[in-house]
Amino acid sequence: MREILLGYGIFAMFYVMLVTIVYFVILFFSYRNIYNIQRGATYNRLQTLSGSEYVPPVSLLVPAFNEELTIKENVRNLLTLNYPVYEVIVINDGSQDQTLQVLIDEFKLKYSNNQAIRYSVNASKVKGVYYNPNYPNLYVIDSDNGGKAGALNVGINFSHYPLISSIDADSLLEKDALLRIARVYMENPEEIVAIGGNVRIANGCKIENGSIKEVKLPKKIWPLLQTIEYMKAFIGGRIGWSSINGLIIVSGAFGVFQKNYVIKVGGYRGGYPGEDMNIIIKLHRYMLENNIPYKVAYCPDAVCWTQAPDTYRILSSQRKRWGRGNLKNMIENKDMILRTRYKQFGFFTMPYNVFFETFNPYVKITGFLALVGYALIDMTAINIVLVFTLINFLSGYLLTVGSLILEEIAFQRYPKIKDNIKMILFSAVLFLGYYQLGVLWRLQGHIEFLQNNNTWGVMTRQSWNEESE
Amino acid sequence: MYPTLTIAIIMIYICIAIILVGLVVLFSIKIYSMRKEKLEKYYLNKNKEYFKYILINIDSQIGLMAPPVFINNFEMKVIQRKLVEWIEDFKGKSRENLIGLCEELGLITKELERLKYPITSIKVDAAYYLGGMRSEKAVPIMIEFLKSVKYSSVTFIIARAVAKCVKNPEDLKELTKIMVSFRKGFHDLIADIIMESEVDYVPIFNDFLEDSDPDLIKVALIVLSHHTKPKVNQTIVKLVDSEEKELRIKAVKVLTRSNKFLEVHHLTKWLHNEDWEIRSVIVKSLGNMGDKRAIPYLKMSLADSSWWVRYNSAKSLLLLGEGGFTALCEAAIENDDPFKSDMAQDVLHEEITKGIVNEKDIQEIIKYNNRRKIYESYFKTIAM
Repeated sequence: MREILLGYGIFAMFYVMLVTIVYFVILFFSYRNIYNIQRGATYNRLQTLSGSEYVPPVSLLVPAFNEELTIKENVRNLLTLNYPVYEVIVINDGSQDQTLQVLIDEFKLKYSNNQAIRYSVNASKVKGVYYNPNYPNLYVIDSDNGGKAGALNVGINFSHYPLISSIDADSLLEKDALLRIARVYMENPEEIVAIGGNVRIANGCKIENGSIKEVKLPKKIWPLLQTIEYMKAFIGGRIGWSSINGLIIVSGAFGVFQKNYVIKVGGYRGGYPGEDMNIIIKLHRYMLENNIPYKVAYCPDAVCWTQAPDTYRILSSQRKRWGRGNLKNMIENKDMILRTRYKQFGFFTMPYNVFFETFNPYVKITGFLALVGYALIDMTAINIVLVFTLINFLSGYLLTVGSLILEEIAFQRYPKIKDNIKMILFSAVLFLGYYQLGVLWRLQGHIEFLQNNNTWGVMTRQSWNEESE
Repeated sequence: MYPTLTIAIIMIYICIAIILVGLVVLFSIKIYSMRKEKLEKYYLNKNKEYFKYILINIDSQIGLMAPPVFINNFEMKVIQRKLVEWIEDFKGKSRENLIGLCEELGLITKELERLKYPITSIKVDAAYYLGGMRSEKAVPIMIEFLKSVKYSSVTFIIARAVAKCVKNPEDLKELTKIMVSFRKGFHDLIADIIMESEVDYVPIFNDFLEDSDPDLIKVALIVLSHHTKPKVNQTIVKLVDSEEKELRIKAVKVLTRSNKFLEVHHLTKWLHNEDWEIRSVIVKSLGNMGDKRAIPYLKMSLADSSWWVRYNSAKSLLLLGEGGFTALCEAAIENDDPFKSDMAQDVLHEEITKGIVNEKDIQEIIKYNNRRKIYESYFKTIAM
């Protein structure tokens, strides 16, 4: 029994080490790319592009479900972006609160039940379009509740421009964010099918009139931990994944897509969370099956600030939803794994996601329990448990430090030295409970999946003003 | 002790060492950038009076004088950044004076030296500033540099710098050819970069229309389609029948901006073109021209198989006064084609429910009231 427990525990530790090595490889790719990204962001004068006729017009699609507390500021924020030609299409996804009324009152919108809508993809039923000529690039569409995917599909059908951008209604874009993404798109317009923006946590920041005035770290523990977690994922991870064209997700909070390809793959898949990952997998599949050269890019200097869950209940609900979405997407696309046809996506991205993301909770929990069991049988072996736990902790910590250095080299969004100290200290907390909870939430998400639970879960918003205070 | 455990303990020490080094690097970068920011603020403040002097005398016929006191390298970089920023914002004599000042301060010579460094990051930085200072001397070296770099964001930084500096049409030609040779399809961005140049680009791009390279032709068509009134020749007309769809569409875009082709009878012959994109461009142009003779053609296009052609035809009819609006109302009640009547109804409804944007604009009020009367005569009541 002891040998079995030890053997399995060691297997789990090697699994963890292998995951860590993969993380380091990705981090290495991020480092290799960071100087190019930094140069592109520093030396390209955005002022020139902001007045250029050559910048492609974009339709911003904002699905809104029960967003009465934040929607006003979000739409105001989107209407003042520094971008030549764009439209904002808010899709009220059958909200049960006053989301629609808030928008009607704020922008003095008028109802129209008869608007020219193209039916390119399956979408929720449209009840009407609201418009005010004084805000010529703002449209609010009232639709039946069809989930985020259904609402985004409504937006695709209504949109007038060749590029679409999905933006969460609880997020604020930096003034130049869209322009920065457009710059990256314009550098390779034939191949880029999707570009993700960088999502940062807005909790704690000073917000005025729908824009971030002062960047600060969150005061509450949950958003603070997510700030570090997002930085690791978006700076340390996604830059690397994009450099090998292996991105499996463009965050639903902010991403830009070539509309014709999104239509070709049938738009967003409804009825289940994880639509942001699903659309990217579908794009990879379509392009690879049709042998079309393509790229899913990432633009870390295009920043979207989002409200992070600040209570245990909301955060756990969000993570369970992510777990369900991930599992559903992996099961649906298992045929892509290790198939030559799907190139780097089939040989690297998909196996990584299945073995190191989806299976992660099972191996980590059982491996840890095996080692604990082994140590309980023979207390002299406790040092083995401690040593391997320490390695796990230190290698993860090293990744955090690596991501923080990348942030400091290229972006420097957090101005104070004490912000760095705080992040360094709280990075330790990530490993002392937070990640373990993440494993548990993912496992619970999988259980929910087996129970056929495909709801969105709990999500409550705070007004931006309240958050700022 | 297990051998695995020994390796694990060594790993622990290695991890701790790398973490410590990482932390030192992290805080060094932080302290360095904070110090740099502080110094920048200090020097900007110190030179406040000098910057004021520059702005007051920016149009001066005798040029601008260098600061009277000794300036260290960092301070010079701060001044340089400010000057380059202003060179972008000003034109004519003001820009000339600012460039002259950069020359007098030795900034151009210094950056030319840096452009010869073997380190790419220094060369990119130098190219950026030389572009900002419009240094013609830097063009040949920068073109060579552009040829030597692999395709990346850096390519566009150097290309833009070259475009800003070129004075000779041949250099602009070469720049365009180099950019096209990457074969990445960034034609719009090339056009945007070319616009930075002070050289008269129209003859160059007219020549490119005759080239055998389709990518060069595409760039030429994009550049010319944004020109106010491009000179149209038979080459462009022939391109409308090109085998490549993108070329056909781009050629039509140029034609619809030309005086010579802005005639209803010229445009309508493309209303039956196989490409919906071309038909869409044509119906848009017919609306923008404001010629009422286009009304029957646009009404016909309301029954087009493409949604976008139908939509743009309806929008164009709205631009053609009461005649266009009446035609749209007629189309909305006709029973021969449901696509036609649906689109006409949708756009009419959208237009009527929009109401009056500027309630103080008498012309707009009259126009709206007339349209409302026409609408009511067809549909009796207005659904609001």
